[in-house]
Amino acid sequence: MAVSLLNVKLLRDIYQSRWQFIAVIVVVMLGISFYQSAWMSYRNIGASYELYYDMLRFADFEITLNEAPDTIGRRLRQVPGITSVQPRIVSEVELEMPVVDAREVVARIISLPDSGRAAVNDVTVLEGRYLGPAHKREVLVEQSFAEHHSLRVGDYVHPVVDGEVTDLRIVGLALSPEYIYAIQSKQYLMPTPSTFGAFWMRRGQAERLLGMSGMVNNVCGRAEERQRDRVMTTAHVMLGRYGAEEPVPREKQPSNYLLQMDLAGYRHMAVFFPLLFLVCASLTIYTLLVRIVNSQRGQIGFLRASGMSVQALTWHYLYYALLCGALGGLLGVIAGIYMSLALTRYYLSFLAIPVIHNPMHWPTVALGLAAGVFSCGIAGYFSSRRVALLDPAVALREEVAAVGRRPLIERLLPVLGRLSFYWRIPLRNIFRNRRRTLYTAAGIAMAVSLILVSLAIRDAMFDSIDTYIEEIQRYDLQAALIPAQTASVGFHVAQWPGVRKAETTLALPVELHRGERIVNTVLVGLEPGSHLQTLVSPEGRPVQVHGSAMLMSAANRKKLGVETGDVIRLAFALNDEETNIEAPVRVGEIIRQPVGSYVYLPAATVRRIFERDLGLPRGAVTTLMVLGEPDHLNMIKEKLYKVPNVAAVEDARETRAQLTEMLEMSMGFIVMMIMLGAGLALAIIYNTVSINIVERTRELASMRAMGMARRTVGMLITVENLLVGVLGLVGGIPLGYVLNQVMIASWENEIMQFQAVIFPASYLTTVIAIILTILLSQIPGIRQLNRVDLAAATKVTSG
Amino acid sequence: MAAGSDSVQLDKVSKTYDMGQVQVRALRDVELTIPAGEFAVFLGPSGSGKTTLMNIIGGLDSPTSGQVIVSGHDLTGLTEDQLTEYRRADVGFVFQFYNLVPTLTARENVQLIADLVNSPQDPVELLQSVGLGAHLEHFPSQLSGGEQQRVAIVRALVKRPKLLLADEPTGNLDQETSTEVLGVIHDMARRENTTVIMVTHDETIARDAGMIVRLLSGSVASIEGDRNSPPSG
Repeated sequence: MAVSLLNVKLLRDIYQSRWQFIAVIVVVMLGISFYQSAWMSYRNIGASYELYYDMLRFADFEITLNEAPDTIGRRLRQVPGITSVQPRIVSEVELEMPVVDAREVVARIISLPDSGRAAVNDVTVLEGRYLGPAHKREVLVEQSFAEHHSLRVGDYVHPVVDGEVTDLRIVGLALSPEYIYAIQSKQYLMPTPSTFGAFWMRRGQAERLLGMSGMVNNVCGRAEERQRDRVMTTAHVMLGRYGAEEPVPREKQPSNYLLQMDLAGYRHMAVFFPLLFLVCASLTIYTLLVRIVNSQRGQIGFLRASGMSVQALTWHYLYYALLCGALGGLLGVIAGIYMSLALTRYYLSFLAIPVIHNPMHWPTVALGLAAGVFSCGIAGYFSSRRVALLDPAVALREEVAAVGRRPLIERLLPVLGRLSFYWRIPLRNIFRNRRRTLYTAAGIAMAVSLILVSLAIRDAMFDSIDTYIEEIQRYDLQAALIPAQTASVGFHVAQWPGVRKAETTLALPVELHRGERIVNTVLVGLEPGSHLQTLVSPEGRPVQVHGSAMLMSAANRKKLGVETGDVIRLAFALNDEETNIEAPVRVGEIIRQPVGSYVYLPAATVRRIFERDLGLPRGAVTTLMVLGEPDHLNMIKEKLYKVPNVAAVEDARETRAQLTEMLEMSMGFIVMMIMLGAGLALAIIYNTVSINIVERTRELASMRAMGMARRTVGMLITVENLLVGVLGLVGGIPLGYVLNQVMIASWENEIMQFQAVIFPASYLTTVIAIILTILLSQIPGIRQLNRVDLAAATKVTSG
Repeated sequence: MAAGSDSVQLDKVSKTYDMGQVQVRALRDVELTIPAGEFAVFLGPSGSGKTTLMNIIGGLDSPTSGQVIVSGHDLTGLTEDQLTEYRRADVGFVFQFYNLVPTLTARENVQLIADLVNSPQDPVELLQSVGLGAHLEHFPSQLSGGEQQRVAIVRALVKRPKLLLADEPTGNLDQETSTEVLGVIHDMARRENTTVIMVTHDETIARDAGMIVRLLSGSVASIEGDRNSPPSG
């Protein structure tokens, strides 16, 4: 019965401070919904990929051949453990486009069976229809390529094979599990729809187009999971006579590899931020409960004096916390489920994946609820333990009003003592009750750090792009030269009108070995003192290539497990029976690489290692970088295409647009984070500020009773809250800074490496948001104060 | 009251508070015996040690040295749980600031404490007996100071404690209400033969007490009306 009356008290206490209770629930709800939505969408995006892979029978492995009769399919099907095989033609041709950029575009022709659908690596038609009979000149175009080049169903594309142009009618825009990210090869870090597209056609059509009658040059297959490695090895051996390359397992398939990397980055955010939110929620609840316990110390003292056990009272306050946790957790789980659906849809629509797999993941739901109850329970436990620690004899005494005196700051700066009382009273108040000030400032600091970290994620992404484009890759255009040319091409282009500078590099695909660890990357041989490709240290200091020290990013060093001075083995990535180029190199200092994972050596060193064995011309170069006058860039670009052996031209403006587009995919998550961060900040500040006013009702009512106008009292509160807000900002900004450092340091991404930066605009946004929130948060408290019965409030307390 | 049965016995009770660099001696070798059913008043100026003494008798605080025996229980050396049990079964408290739970009604405030023991008095009857029958479902904020204090007294006595400890119960009330509240304490204590110890610095309140213990600087300065020892001083 005693417990039930305590429960009645609990419910009425909650009703009396319902807005604070609701705000605490909102804090928990936001934390849990964030966890729920982030984790569930992370899982469901992955599950949707898998579902799509299964639906379209995505290959477990793929083997590229020189040429083989199409009967190899029948033979491969006999291999134990193999479940399906698709022999096909995969060949790259030049595509003539009805625009000036025509010669840069590479079309990868992929054959599909003449009848029925592909047993492995099928396609989804997103628009239009599937291919008709093989005699029709029809083609399916990968959707991102079509979108980039504004190609529609009914349009024609013109592949050029052996100098002959063919017309193919686009009957559909398609997506395939192989080209969710339409990446040309593993050397490319991102889709390049401007220069590369996948095209599917009937096998008969492909045979005619490419002159491969009855032949195939690619096999993809699916195998029983446990036997996959053995199946790949067997297939590789069987196909050895047809020049089979190393099988590419699913996890190394470029599109899937990038998707998994992307998902891993998402996973990081899905863990780190919800955890941060929950810690903030937990600390907020702790400070609130401590203040509630303090405000009821007289009651607690009496109940203890009357023989009520510490356990009964501890549980009473713990119930409050657990109720917050359970209700907040439940609402958070429900909100999280809907948000996860929206996020999953957002992501999948970005990649044009037409299926969505959004099952209810009960362990995540259970964990969300448990996290809500647990985080509040912990906060409740520590705060209600204060009941046990509260000596009843002490609790029964009226809390001695904190002594009012000149604070240290006023003694140090006597000028503050001459301020108007609007400033002096609030200033002294915040120093008078240091604990209260500390709790309020701590709550605000949490809110500050949340908003700041959320904004800083965006900053880190854009900083990476800016640094990459403006400080490291300083060229406007970069032409790829195939085969390698001599450096004279640079001198020649430098003379063109509108060209401010032209430089060359020698870039080669390489493997870096250190024990068992291997990193596949591109080695760039850079001329010392290069202006168009500069290297910087993580601190932003210029770094020059020299000697045989290989410069690489921290991410590559980590993957290899090496430090400056270590020796690693450098090998040509396309080594085979005829070519075997290897050389030991020493690891040089760390460079910052916001995008990509290239490694650098002086061009002379690269030539010394590779030139002779690869039969390269003396002073070989493979890329030409150009810095031009802005109004000449298009013209220079056109002229570059006309230079012999220019295979492709990269435009820095397009790279920036592509990188930005890639980051936009993460924006949904970041926008959600910023909104939740702001919501959480609002709830935290509302709680801390409103309880601050409630705690001082008597004191503030006394001022009113003495004749001070409502507006004046309101002003005093506002000034005090803003001063505490400043303290919160002073504490929260470094906290946010440190949290951001921790987060960025643990965030790994294959394509982009981020550095912890916070733009001044983000600091400013945070400060403005916090001040506005403080001003808004105190409105209900001040209104309540204005309604208070002055006679009753100025009497002694009854609790 | 059973003749000769002592409710409270204090033997050389001292209390020292360690305030960091300073040690404050709140009580010095207090020797005191209060018979069962007595209405005793601790009288003295602020800082004389009266509340400390009351808290030690009530099991809210423990002496630094000396022995405290209440209703046959030796309080010295009791654990926190044993002290809680002692307070629950044997002691009722009334305070100057009432300490009612603001979110419970008058009846519920009393019921909350009644539920702690096995055979309490009926909260409603008790509240009616002090003239609060019409205010049973009123919240503390809806009651006057005198009414709140009457609820507090009923709440303290509803468990049938052997000992009622009241710390300045009228300190917050006007003269008329004080008299009324003191009357209630007297009547109810007499009805249940409860030993009452009241702490006050108001000489007029002490007039109706059976025993007046004057404290000064932590020592017993005099005891008036003590049936066991001759008045000192």
